[in-house]
Amino acid sequence: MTVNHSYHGVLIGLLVAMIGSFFADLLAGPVSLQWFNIWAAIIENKASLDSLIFFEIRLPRAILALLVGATLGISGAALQGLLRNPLAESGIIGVSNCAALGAVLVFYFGFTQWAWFALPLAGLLGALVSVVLIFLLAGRSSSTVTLILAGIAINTIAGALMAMALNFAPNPYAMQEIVFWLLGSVANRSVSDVLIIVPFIVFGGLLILSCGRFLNALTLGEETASSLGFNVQVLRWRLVVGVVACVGAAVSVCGNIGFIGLVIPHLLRPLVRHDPQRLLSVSAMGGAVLLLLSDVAVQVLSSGGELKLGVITSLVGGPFFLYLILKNRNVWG
Amino acid sequence: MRAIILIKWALVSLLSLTSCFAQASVPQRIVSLSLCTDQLLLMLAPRQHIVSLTRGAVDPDLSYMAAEANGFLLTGGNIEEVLPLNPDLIVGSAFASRDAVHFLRQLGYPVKLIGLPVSIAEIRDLLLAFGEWVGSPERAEQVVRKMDWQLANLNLQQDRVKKTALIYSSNGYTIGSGTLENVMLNAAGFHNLAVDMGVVGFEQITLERVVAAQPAFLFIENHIDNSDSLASQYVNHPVLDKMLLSKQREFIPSRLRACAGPMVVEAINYLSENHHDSKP
Amino acid sequence: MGLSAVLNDESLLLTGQQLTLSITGGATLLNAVSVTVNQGELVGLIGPNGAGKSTLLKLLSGVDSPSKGCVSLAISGSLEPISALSVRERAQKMSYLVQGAKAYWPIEVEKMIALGRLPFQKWWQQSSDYDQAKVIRAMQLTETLIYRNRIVTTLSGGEQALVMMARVLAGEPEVIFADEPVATLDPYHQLHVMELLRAHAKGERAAVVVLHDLSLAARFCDRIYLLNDGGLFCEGSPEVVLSQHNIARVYGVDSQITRVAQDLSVSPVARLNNRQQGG
Repeated sequence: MTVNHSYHGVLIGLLVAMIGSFFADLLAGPVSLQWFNIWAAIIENKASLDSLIFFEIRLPRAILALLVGATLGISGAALQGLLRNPLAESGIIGVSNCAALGAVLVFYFGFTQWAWFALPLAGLLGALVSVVLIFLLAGRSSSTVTLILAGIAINTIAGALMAMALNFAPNPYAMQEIVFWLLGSVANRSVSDVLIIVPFIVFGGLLILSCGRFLNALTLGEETASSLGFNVQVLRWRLVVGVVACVGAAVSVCGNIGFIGLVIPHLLRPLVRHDPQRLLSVSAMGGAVLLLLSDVAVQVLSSGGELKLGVITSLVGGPFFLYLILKNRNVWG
Repeated sequence: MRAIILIKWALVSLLSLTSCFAQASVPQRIVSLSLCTDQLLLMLAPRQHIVSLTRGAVDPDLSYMAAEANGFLLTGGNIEEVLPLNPDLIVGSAFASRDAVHFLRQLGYPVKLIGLPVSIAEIRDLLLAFGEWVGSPERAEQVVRKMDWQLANLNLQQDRVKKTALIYSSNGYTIGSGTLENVMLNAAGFHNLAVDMGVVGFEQITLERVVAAQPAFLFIENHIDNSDSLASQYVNHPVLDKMLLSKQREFIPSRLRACAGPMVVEAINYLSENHHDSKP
Repeated sequence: MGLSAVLNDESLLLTGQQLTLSITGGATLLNAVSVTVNQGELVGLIGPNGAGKSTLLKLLSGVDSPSKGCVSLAISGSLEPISALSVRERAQKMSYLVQGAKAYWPIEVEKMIALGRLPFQKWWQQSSDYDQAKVIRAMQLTETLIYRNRIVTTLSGGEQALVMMARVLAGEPEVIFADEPVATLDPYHQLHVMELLRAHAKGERAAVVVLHDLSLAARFCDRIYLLNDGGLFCEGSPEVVLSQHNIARVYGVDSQITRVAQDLSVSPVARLNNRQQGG
């Protein structure tokens, strides 16, 4: 069927783009590496200068960009499918900031030593609180205005609580570091940072993917989905847990990188003809590509990366958001 | 007889008057608005002329003269706390609040500000000038002489080829040319790679460049003890431990370099002789 | 909850016994209503707004669970409570058409109709040729083949209603439950949808429909349940239920009931001042 051919074409195209941008990010950096030296270091099992930079600095950075980008993409698609609203996204509805709040409370008050998973778990719990709040505030109505207003409220409160927590934190740099938490960055991360979030992201991603058919059924509303053989209560929570697990972990290590979850599903939806299930995997790859390329831009623009990644994604996503509003003014009243 | 008593009385009065004037030109109630003027006061001014210091003065991590600062009134260095003390001289650093300084001057208080020396010569000038302000020029000259003597007698091995060094601090900052720290590094016999990279003053550099620079000595400065801060994640990144060609050392402790003064000698000594590792 | 019972009456397809639904806050939406549906029947649920028709429909179709009472479906000779069925099995046998059904995403008509085949696909399966054939058949029945590549949200109200029916028919359920499927349609499409329901409710299948239009109920339904205020007022054939007296008591309107050959026509004429409650 031609429909399947084009879908497979899209998948392959995105996969290639993802691999390509991954390598582009590995190549980007202030120091030009000698690839032969890296290769030799691997074979001889002895660290050289180039291999050190490659394995300890660049590789964690690129892997994080890929994982976090995929997380944001797939969670944006999942939230939009669940709430049946193209504006739902972990940043806009406040999930990311609440995850950051959870992470801040654990990070600056000395609880990261408690367990290896303390930090991503804190992000997950923060994210969970925000989703519960969204359901309470916006209900299951697909009204855009209510959803956005609820998101604004949650974002504002989370941001204020974060600033307050940072103010009272024991160390003097805390307050200045709010920029990281609000804008996000993948720079200066080590391999251990990557490892602590991989289980959460894989777990969350798989949970989300398992709800793909449910999202398709939701195209017709919750009651119809129920009559089509889906346990709406259970599946809704499964999806939510999936989203908060991967977003919570991603934000706890990289801060709130915004707009990927909004831009990518919107751009790729026509490619999968609005199929919510297909949009999930496609958005994961698209998100990875976008974040990797944004990181390449960061490396190029600031010759090393003191520019926060979230600045680039906001510069791209902000105007895109405006464009969405303009285009859909009539529909959203 | 009466004439002699009269003349004596006149002489004594004259003497006491002039000494009065002489004393009036020496400040009797000095207030400090910043840590660095705290140090200078404690080193140069008579203790009874110091009315207040700032809170940092008794912190042994920040203040070189912490022990000597005990017993003095401590303030936060703001106008509200300072005015009621009725000072006749207020000293602070040039980075103090401009509005506060302006306000105090408008009220008629003499306010003297110190700058930031970036060379040994400038430290000398600062010490001498400060000595004038607080009415102890001889003491200042004494301190300068001692400092010069200590500098000349530093037992430093001046290798023909200087050892390369790089400073890496919280938030990824390094220290380049035009700073006192750079002068200290050079005096201790190191070649600061940051200068080669074109770093002027305090700038951020990426981890990659730190690794690529391969300094013989990597001076780490972590401003916070616990690692729960993004700022300290820079200096705690595992790659630094894997730089086998570089020896990691702790950079000069704050109390020796936060302020300019004769402790610069101790700072230089610390760099060259201190052989302990940075990680406990 | 009833246990499965041997089916005595061979033609019984679905029963709801003493169905009650109370919600938190104490309000009782439905009070001890019993319904039976036989094979080949088109059953109508009528009553004033707030009578509990939609609630009853959701309980019968398994979308909601009753606070008290039990719904059972006849499966291979015995009555099984639908709560004992897996969600998937229930979805294969019973299909529910929501009031004001619409698609939230602008997908293609054919894709939307294919959603009706979801209960038959395992999680790893894509749409098979068999599924595709059922979808085409459903489009043929509803005469919507010409719209197959159109976007659902661009169709008119009447066309959307037909397409939604096609989605239901694609699942080939035993019982179709439709909540006011013709409320906003023009007469042409109203008749078309009712004819489709009538055509489906033949042989071993059945349909249960909530209607406001009494004439349509009279013309198409085999039996009617008249609900009022959460309870059952009366049930029976259209002639029995749709009497002037019943309509006056439940709806509070004076009506004109005419009979032309096989067709019963009910027209509300004037409001009555003393509408009596209860039944």
